[in-house]
Order: sequence, then C-alpha cells, then structure tokens
Amino acid sequence: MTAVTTTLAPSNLSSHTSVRDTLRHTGALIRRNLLSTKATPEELLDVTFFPIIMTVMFTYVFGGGLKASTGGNYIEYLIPGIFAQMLSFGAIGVGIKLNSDFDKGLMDRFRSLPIARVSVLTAHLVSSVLRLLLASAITFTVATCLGFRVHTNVLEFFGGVGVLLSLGFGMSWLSLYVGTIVRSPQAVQGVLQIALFPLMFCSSIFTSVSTMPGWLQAFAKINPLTTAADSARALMVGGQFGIGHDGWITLAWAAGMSLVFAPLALRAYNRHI
Amino acid sequence: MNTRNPSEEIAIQVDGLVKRFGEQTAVDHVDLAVTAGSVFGLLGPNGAGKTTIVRMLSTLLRPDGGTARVAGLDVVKHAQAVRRVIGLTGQFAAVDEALSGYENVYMIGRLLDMPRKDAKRRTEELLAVFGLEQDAKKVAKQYSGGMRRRLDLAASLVGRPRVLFLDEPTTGLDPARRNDLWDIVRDLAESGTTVLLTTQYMEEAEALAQDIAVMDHGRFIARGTADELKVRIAGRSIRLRPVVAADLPVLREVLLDVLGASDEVAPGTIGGPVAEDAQVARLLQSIAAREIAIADISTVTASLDEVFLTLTEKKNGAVAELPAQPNETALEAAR
Repeated sequence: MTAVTTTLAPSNLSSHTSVRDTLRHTGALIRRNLLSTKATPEELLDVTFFPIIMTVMFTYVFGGGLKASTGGNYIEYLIPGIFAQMLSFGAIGVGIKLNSDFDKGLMDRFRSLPIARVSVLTAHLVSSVLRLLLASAITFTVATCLGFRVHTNVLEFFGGVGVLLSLGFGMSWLSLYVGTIVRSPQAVQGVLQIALFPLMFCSSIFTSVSTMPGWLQAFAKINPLTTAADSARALMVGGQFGIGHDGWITLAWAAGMSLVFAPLALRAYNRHI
Repeated sequence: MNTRNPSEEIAIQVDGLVKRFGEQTAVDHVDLAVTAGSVFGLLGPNGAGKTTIVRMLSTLLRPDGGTARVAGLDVVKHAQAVRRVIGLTGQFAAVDEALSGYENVYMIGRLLDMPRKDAKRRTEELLAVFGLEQDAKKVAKQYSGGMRRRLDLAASLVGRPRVLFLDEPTTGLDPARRNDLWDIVRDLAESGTTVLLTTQYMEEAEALAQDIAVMDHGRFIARGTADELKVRIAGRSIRLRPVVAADLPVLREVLLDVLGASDEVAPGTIGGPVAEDAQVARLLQSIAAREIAIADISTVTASLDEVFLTLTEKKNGAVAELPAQPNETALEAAR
C-alpha cells in the first residue's frame, strides 16, 4: 500500500484550506451567482418590483388611514419600515437559490471538489447582500419620487442602511439554513414566509406599536423588524424619531442570528445527502 | 523507491463497506479492488446500491462500516486529499444551466486553484476535446442531453483526476452519442486514468470494463471479466445432433455421464451444460468410443444479458451459492 501512496496520492494530505484559497473559491462562486442572475434576471423580481409595489401600495392605499396613528407625515414613517421589510423578505431568495442547487446535482460537484465547503455558503451570502443593496437602492429611488426626504446627515443615513443590512445578513443565514434542511425551493419560500409575515405585521413597520393591545406590544417591541424600522427612522428621518437602544438591539439580533444559523447551516450543508 | 509495475497498483480498495438508510441496507459488506489504469464496471438494476458506492468513494456519503481507499487515501480520514485526485460525473449532469459551457468549466478550474490563464487554457482545451467549442458561449440550458453530458464530463476532468467515477454516464443518450462517450472513456483509460463506472446496461459494461461486478440488493452477486461471467455463471452449453435419430438415447446416456445433465433442446438435437473445458474433450472421446455418427455439433455461450437476468432474478438462496467462488477468485487475482 505504501507503494500506491507514493505514486497516486497527492503530496498534500491536509484537509485545511488556506484563507486565501477560500477567498478565491468564494470569488469564483460569487462570479457564478452573478452570471447566473445575469442569465435569469427574473430572479431579481422580489428585490426590484416587490419593493416598488409595496411602497406605492402602502403609501396610497393605507397611508390615509394610518396617518393619524403615526403622527402626520406617513411616508416618512413608512419608508424606513419598508426598508426593514425588503431586507428581511429579500433574504428568502438566497435560501431558494441554495436549495435549487441541491436539486440539480451541482452540489455533488462542489462537494467532491477540494474546496472549503463554507465557500459555497459564503458566496451565496455575499450575493444575497448584493441583492439586498439593489433592493435598497430601488426602494430609495421610488420613495424619493413619492416625496420621501432624508433629514439627517450622510453618516447617519448610511449608519441606518448599515443597521438594516446587518438584519438582512442575519436573515440570510436563517434563509441559508432553511435552504439546506427543507426538500424543495417552494418549501423554503413557504417556511420563511410563514415565519416572516407575523413578524412583519406585528411590528412598527406599518403602524405605531402603541396602537396594539398590550400583550402584542410586548412581542412587537422586541421584534427585530420593529427595532430595525425604528432605528432606520431615527437615522434617516430623525426629528420625532429617537433611536434609543434600537440600533444596538437590531445589531444584536443580526449577530445572534448569524452566530446561531451559520454553524447550523454549515452542519446541515455538510450532512446533506 | 517504487519498483512495482504501475499497472499492478490498486487505485480503489474497498473492504467490508456498509451503508444503511434507516432500516434498509443499501450497501451490504462490499469488497472491491480496482487496478490502477483499468476500467471497472459496476452493473446492476435500479436501487442495487451502485450510486451509493460511488457516493461513498467520492466522499459525498459517510460509510456506516468498512473502509474505502482511493489512491491509497481513506475516504473518511483524508476526504479532502481524496477530492484532489478524483473526478465525478453523477447521474444528473452537474452543470449550471444558467452559465455558458465555457463558464461552467472555467469555474471548476478556478475552484481547483488554477491561475486565470491556466484555467482559461484548460477550459478551451477540454471544450475542444469534447466538441463543444462552437457552443462554448451558449448557456447550458440550450444544450442537448448529449452536449450536457459531455460538458459535465469535461468539468469533471479539469483537474486531470487519477480516478474517475462515472455514474450511469450514458443513461438517456442516443446510440451515436453513447458510442462517442465510450470512445472518450477508452481514451481516458489508455492515458492511465482509473475509471469506475456504473451502468444498467450489460453491453456497456462489456464494451468498456475489464472487470465487472454484478450488484443486486446492496451485494455483489458475481464478479469477473465479461467472458468469465458468461461462462462461469450462466454457463456454456453443447448441442449435438446424431445422424441417426435412433442414437439419441445412447447419446443422452453419454451426456448424463460426462456433463451430469442432458435435455432434448430441439427435435433430434440433444444438449447439456459445460462446466469446464475438459468435459468437451471427454464427451467427444466417449462419443467416438461408442461410434456414434454426429451430424452437427455446436457450443453456445449465454449472452451477458442472460447472465444478468439469471443472476438478478434468482432468489436470495440460489444467488448466495453462486458468487462465493468467483468473488474469491477475483479478489485473489486483484491482489
């Protein structure tokens, strides 16, 4: 057997992949994701048209009715909330994409290559954040057209975007985890929407938490979508909206979700048959 | 250091490999040794456990028992090192349909740590070999089934693997495309690549593989070369037609005596199973001694498909006694 090893086996037996190699692998896979999006632009519908529809619909359909509860200018109240909603729902896409990779046998190819397995996940994660940035830009443009104005300085504004993206980052890990454990892309969408819809409506995204019954307020106040929407309001609109601890709570949510779901996703990914 | 002839090296060594899925045992104590540079055929019906073996050998599944070494490396302990020497073409073409043929192959080159220039050169080289250079820029979604297979195979060859796993590589291909793929596999083997291929088609195993293992219900039920399997398992038979029909009863006695069985296979023709070559000579001697005039004599070898059917259709008890001997012999020969 030693004779076999000398001629057939590679000289490097280590299972370790260097950081540089992992970055290169991640880069090659991000390139793959981008090329794939270029070939199938309809994958971007959820982060392009959906934000437009939500912004326009809530501003004009519910804006009149909800105005009173939020203190005057509804669009200034709504848009930071729409951002929070976009960045959480926009994260569903990455889980769907990962799950459909399993369908096609492509995962077998990746898993039989000498690459760090985490690079497949990190590449999807980076693509997800890029999608969310696109969603943010589109939402912002539409909101500006509808009369939304930023009243804070550039630093605060981008701080707000950063807090929102961190939530999207944590949500993306959740989405990747769900993407590895359920059987079909449709199931990824189903599971995450069931989880996100109550979070979205029982939050301060569309209306003030103070209008809700007490037991619901308790939930709504710690809901990461509430804290994300409230921090975005404080950092983008300012004035009557104070940030309090909301920024830190949102960041803690994002970090917590990443710390819990990243290892779970990686473990599930390694075990996936 | 290494004085042995490379062709005698063992590229794949499997001992007592087991894989269970819940209650079901998909692979049940399988032993296997594949000589470097040869083509080994794993033949069996759907659900026999062929793909499970390939998935364990290519580090995609953890075995529940036994050991497997590829190029001398344990597939569990040195999984990452095994991945550096293998190529895998699975049952479903593992290509990204949204990417062009070029980008699919190039991506693998980059994932295998090739500098951009080398990855580009290797990609162009492989696309040319597989006749895909005309369609290199087209997205794989527009490829035909045969083109997708070739692209998949090209992607699995980027790193010049020393051991290549092909899981039902020609399923769904038309005969012309299938022959093209066979030629490619033969070329690869000639250049020193060890190939383990699974197939449901006897013809394919016979055309490509030096050694064949027939699998059913997670076990090897027979093993050997195509010719050995034909003779040893389904057997050869001899048919004789005497000039005078009156000689038939005597002839029957002779066959019973020498071969242990006889049967009137057609009007005026009698046949019997030949277990070993020496029996034919003895049979002819006995016939000559009795001065029976023979009008026609022929030996019939079963087709490999018949062997396959015989083996897989037999109930467990009958199967168990057949493979014992060939298994041992094949293992001895491989060692």
